[in-house]
Amino acid sequence: MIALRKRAEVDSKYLLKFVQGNTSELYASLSRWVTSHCIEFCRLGSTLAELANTYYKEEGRRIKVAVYAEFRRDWVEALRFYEEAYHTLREMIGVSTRLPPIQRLLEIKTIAEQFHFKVSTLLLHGGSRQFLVFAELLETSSATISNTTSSPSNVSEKSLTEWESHPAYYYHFAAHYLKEKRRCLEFASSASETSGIPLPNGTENGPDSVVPSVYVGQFSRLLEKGDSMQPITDAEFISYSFEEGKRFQYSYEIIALLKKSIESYNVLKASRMASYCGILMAREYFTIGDLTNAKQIFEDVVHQYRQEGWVNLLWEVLGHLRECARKLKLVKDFIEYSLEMAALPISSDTPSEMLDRKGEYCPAGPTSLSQRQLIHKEVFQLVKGQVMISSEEGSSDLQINADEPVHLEIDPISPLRVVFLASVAFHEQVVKPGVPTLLTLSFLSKLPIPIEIDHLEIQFSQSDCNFIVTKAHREQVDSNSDSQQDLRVETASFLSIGFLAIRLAHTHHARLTIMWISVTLFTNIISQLGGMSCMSNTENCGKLECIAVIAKIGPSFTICCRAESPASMDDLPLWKYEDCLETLPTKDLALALSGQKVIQVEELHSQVDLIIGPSGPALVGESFLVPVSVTSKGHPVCSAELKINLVDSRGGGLVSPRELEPFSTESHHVQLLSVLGPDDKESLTDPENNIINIQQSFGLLSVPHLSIGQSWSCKLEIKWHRPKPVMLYVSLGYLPKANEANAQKLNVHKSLQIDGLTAVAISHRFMFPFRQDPLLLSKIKSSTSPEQSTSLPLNEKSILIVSAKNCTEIPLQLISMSLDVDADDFGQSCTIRPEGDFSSDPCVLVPSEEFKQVFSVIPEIISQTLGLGTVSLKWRRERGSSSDADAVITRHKLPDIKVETPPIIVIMECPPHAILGDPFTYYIRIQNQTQVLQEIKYSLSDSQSFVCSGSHSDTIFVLPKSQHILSYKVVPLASGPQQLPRVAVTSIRYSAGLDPSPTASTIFVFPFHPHFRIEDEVARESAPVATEPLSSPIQA
Amino acid sequence: MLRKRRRSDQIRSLRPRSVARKMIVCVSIVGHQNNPLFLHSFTEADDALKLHHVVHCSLDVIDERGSHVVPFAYEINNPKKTGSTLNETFLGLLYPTESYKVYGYLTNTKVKFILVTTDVDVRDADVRNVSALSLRLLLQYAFFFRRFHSAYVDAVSNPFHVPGKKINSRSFAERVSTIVKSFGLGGAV
Repeated sequence: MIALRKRAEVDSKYLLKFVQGNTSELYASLSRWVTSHCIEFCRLGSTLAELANTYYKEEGRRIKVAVYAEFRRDWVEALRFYEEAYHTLREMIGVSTRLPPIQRLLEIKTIAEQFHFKVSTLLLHGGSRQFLVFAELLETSSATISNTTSSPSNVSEKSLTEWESHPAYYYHFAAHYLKEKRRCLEFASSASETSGIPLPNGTENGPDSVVPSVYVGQFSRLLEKGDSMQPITDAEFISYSFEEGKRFQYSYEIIALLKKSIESYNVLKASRMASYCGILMAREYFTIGDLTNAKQIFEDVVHQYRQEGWVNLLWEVLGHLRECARKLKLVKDFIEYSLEMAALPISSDTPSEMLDRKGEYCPAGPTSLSQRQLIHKEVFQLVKGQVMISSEEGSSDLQINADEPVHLEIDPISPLRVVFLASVAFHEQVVKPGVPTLLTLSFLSKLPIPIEIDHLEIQFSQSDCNFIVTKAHREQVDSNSDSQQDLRVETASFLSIGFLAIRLAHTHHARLTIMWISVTLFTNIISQLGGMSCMSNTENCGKLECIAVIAKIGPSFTICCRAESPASMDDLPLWKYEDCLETLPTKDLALALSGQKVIQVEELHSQVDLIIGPSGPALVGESFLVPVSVTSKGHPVCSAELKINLVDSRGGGLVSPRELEPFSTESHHVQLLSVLGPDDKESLTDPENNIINIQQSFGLLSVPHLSIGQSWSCKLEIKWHRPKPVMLYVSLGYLPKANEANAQKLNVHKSLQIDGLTAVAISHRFMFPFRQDPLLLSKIKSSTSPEQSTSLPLNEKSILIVSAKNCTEIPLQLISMSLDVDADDFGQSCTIRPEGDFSSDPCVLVPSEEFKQVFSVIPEIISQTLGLGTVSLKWRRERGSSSDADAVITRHKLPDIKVETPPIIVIMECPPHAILGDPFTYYIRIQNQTQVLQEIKYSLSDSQSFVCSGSHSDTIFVLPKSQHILSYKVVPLASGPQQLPRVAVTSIRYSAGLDPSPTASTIFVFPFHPHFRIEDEVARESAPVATEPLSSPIQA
Repeated sequence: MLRKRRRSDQIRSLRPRSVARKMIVCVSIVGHQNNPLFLHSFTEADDALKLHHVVHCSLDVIDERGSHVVPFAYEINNPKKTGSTLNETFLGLLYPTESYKVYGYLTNTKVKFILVTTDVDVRDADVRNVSALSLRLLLQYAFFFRRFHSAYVDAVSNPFHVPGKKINSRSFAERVSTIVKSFGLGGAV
């Protein structure tokens, strides 16, 4: 190796490096091959170098460079230098040296032979093949490496910079050189045809029969015929080679190589290189006439250039595609590609030398503005129905048939967006039906020449809003070429939007500007009930979206462009990279920046009144009626439904399962009972003619058909079980027109807060009879605890006062008050009797007035808990009617009482009134109801208003079951209510004293004898009206 | 015709060696979305489209390298200075095509500068000094790219220029032409 290195005069560093690389496992199989070849090459090179050094020192250096280049696997460079060396060698023949000419010639010949071998290996013979060999070798070796060793470095993982390690590169080169070879062959064959050298006989035998010469100096080539070798001339060999070359199917070979290259590049994720190879491949297909394949491949790669804005490359691909479409007679594709090409951002006119190369790279000609215009004109002639495009052969004419109109769809990702872009903006965000609104349509076209649109259809999400804009009469269009738009709006009638002619124009100055053509239209979104149908009306509320704008150009060509909102519009592809002025779709800046193609259509104004009757607070217990009336004002009411909902206005439910109501089993505090008819009280819960669904807090019922002006009403019957404020929601959903299946319901909502109040507050109080005080022992003992239930003396008449207070702010009518005693207790334990008659005319209780009813209670058994029963108060609102139906019963449960036997009863007796100066007797009767002797101590305190006679204080004994009477003769000295001399009675046994209350010991003293009518006097005496409480008759 | 061409080749090969033959055939600026911002070719028109392809394909290599950008692998500055002082990365040779070599330069705003040359002339160089030669060439390229870059910076600093759009400035094109010419003539400028 050292010898080799020395001879080759290669820097040791490089050689060593290479060898080291070879030893690595990675290149194991590859390196073996490469090294062997390299050594061979090096040896060869070094011999050559030696020889060359001898003869031509400087040229020898070139050879060395070539060898080195080959060594480095830089085949291109190696080839170039070998070629140069070969040419120099020829020049050397003429150079005289000291050597004998024969020897010199021989040497030169030998070297030339070597060079020829090299060059032909590298280029002519090998050329493409050598690269192919490398590529295949790399591929297989990498495959075997990755199979045998688990080395992580695969071919695909190597960086692209190591291009020499990738088969794709060699496949690509192989294809390239094969192409070069073909080109040279074609060039040469065209030259040779003129010279016309005949082929020698026997060449038909096939390629095996001819053996090429081995070196340059070998004059004759040999034609093998049978066993003998027959020399042939150079010219013959050349023509043989031509024939051979013609037979060879270059295109398929090239395509196969490129296909491999693409696959390999795709593995490397080198998409651009793959695309380039794809183009080369598609060009091959194109030249051999396989248009379907060519088109397919071009279509595959075209997106790459669209995406990155490589306009020139895109132009080339599109040009091919257009030509393919033309030849395949795909009218739609042809139009699409033509339009896209015409709208490409090419502004400059190409240098003139490009024009010479027309057809070389692109069948559509050079990338220039004039070419764009040409294409534009061509395609619009086709679109307008002319049969014009005939290719070179003249056979394939394109034409749009009227039977098969061409329809292009342009969506936001379509490359044809630059051809026709429609932006639609409503001027308002919300519109009410029936109100016209402004709509601005803006169009943008990047075509080089203005186009005229005959017919424009604007489509909305609600198809009945669609409208059509048609071209005005020809003569009305201004022929002003400078103006950007020719716009004529004629509102012929209410029904039509108008006639409109739009020319999409595009000015091209030195700097291209994006110009928008904008048209503002009045769009009626009208719901016309009166029978006139209008162009765009919507009855449906919700969103109205402009979907598409369809432009019709020519008799059978339409472009459907998806409408875009100016607010959310993407940049134009390709053009966004151009340094050109961008304008906004509309002059209105706000609209251009925030305009939307969607408008919110509000609900139609309902022309029906829903009235919830005014009502005050509801009273607990009553069936509260809320009148609801539906009045049609502008709409007939069809298939209407009334929804009723009760919601606790303070939040929280109306249900409280934990609280057990003693008098109502319903768990709802507020309950929707039923719905009553409008005129009578008949309930509407009739399933035959009404859909009705009443739940505790929700109701649904149907409303009959109402024509305009009619009204209907009902009453909601709601019952409160607890005082609670409640929101009542009533909503009416109806159709304004009958027999419309998809019509949308209109809704009217009303709500009302209703307070539920307690109507009457019932309270009760027990009392002993006037001036009669039984001594109740339990009261003495547990005077401290106020929770003690009331004690009543056995067999004595006690008084129960039940009072009902009107808590509301309206007068109430009391119908009756009764005390219902539980059946098992009644009669045995207690006698309760209302004192006095409840008048037959119901009394009216004004707000905050109290009604009292007195009952006499005589307990008949001793009991710790004696149930007295429940007070039922029947009342109703004070109204005109006196029907019993709406009477409400409010119940009040009386507490249990304790019944005991009083040991001593003190009764004070005196006349109801006194007359000044008139003496009367005043008794204190002390009854001993026990079986024992009772020692009673009493004392009298004097009063200034009376003169009193009798014992002042003493201790007496009252015999069992008997009574003792203290009597005092008193003379009133002052008139008016006067305090009688008070007698304090104390029972020694029970240590309890009686201290009569001041009220009980007060008597009214008349100054003279009053004159009462006897009836009144009788009535007064017989009715013991308890006006003041007789509290704590006996005090300890 | 073929013979004629070959003869012209021979004539060219016999030209004095002092005339450098490393020719810049195309310079290009590619934006961060891989869209072409500027492309100018200095060759006969027949290769114009091909050069577009060459430049476009080189983006594959830049993409692949850019994903793990290492500051210029070849030390173009004085080895004592760290390469990190350069904000930009000279990517060196991207790939060779059959007739061209493509060099790249990537700024930290992902703007790519691409240079296509017919860099094959090593006539003046000695085989033994290949490494020195390539380093010298690379230094030349790096220097060229720096000048190119500063010209670009000046061009986009124009207040009327919208970033990301194509550069249509005539003065920029002229300046680039000057840089290219000076590169071709001066060698190590």
